[in-house]
Amino acid sequence: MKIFSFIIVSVTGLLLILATTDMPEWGNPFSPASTHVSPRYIENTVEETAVPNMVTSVLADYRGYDTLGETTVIFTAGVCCVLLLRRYRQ
Amino acid sequence: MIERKKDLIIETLCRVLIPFMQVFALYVIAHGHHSPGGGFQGGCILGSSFILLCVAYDLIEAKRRMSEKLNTLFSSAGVIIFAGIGIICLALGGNYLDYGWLSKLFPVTPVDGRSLGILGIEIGVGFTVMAVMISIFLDLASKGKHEEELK
Repeated sequence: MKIFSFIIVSVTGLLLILATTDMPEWGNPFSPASTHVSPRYIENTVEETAVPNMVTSVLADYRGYDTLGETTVIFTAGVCCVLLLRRYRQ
Repeated sequence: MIERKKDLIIETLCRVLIPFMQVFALYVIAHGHHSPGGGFQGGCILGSSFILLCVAYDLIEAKRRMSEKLNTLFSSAGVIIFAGIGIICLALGGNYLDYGWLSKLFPVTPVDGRSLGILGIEIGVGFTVMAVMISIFLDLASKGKHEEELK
């Protein structure tokens, strides 16, 4: 059973490593992310959100739902630490 | 029982340093949409200023300033602020977290409403990050004991 799991993990890992060769080059200006999404944010951030900081506008506005999830993750981590570490009186 | 060892230099230095750290943290949160910064970073600075208080003084003094009850309240209040702004946008007729619709509540244009919404959620994120940092530190440092048991 252990050998079987090892084979599955190795094959999955090899497939993932093979898939990385298909990824666009680092910093390639013609990759899909640089030709569609990035110019849209760079050109329209100030007109659409009145925020000069592009990073914040993407983080909090265009990708606001993601940030809500991040905040919930932090909150859940805090609640788990309270549950695990805090001792309650009898 | 935790003994408190007084040290004049450390206490004086921290008494001077902590207010500046907190003002800077509030600046980072409030100015996050105009300069580098935001809720996560500002919340971390705010939380670490409190941890400095715990290190320089003691846990009883720290818990008198920020009790665990208040801390838990803050950590959930941040998420509620964030989700609540989304629900307000939903109630005003837009999509969830579509801050442009906040212009119906406040006297701003829809574009400025987005800036306002971003500021609101940064404040919520800052609350949560600060309270969770303090909460984890207090639980680790006090071995999970409550205020009465520390004395």
